Amino acid sequence: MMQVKTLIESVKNAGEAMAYKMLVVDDSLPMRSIIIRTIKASGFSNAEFLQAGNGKEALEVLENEWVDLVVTDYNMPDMNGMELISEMKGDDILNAIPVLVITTEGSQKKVDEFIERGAAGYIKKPFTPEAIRTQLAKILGEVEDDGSFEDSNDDVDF
Amino acid sequence: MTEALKTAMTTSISEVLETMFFMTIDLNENATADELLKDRGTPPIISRIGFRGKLTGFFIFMVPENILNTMTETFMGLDVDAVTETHLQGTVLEAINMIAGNTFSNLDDQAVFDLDIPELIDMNTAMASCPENAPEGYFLLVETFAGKLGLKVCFRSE
Repeated sequence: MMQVKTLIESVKNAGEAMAYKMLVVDDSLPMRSIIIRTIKASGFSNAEFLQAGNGKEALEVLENEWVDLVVTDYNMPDMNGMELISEMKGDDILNAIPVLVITTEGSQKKVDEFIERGAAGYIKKPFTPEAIRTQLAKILGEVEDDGSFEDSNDDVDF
Repeated sequence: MTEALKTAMTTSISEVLETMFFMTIDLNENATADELLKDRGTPPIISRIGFRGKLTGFFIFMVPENILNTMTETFMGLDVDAVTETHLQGTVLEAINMIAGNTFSNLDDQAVFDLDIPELIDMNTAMASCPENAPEGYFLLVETFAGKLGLKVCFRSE
């Protein structure tokens, strides 16, 4: 009996270890919530999320936590998304973490600058769930359809 | 420029409200802010965002609290009882941020406009928000299934 319980725990832990950990950076609490809800509904229902209100807070989080993806806004107080990308790309360890920018900044010049600085992808607000799903698939690999995409209005507690 | 900005602004608010808040809208371009004040059932919560570029000025978004409650529930996937003042304020701030950024994307995606951090303002400040240094202005009354809200822009050309 004990062996079965151990086996179940091992499988459970293995599944949890495979789940992505993501850092969502935006000074808007509602926007962080909707981004997390949309990502969960895009085939990442097991993902773990950390949150930060600006680039400085994000770097503080990244001092202690490894994440598989940073999703960041541009226009934030104290340290904006462009400055966050520059800091991360200038760091020997953090430069391995892909950064997805989700922002209202829509000028082609700004988009080009994000990519030049090292952003892995870019989504303009307002965004559709499909846009997020497409970018996540591009950055993290093809997403398994776990059926949650259609349930994008499911409540998620934050 | 005024006509081009009007078109970009009406397209933007439609896209933002329909994509992020699932609200279909009708626009009244000949209304004044007085009509919104006469119509409202609850006091409006008002956000403002400044912008700089080849146009300089600000957008003001006026949303009666009962409509903002509905928008916030939809936006954050919350039950009505779970919506707090912080959620309401965050939603109206993020909405004006998206509307402004999307307006400029629609207006000219080759131009760069710098957006300020959005802020909450009171009605007196909103009504006095077209000073002499921003002589051009435009008000849009937006009718939704939940009631009316208002979007105002004041600007000067550089």
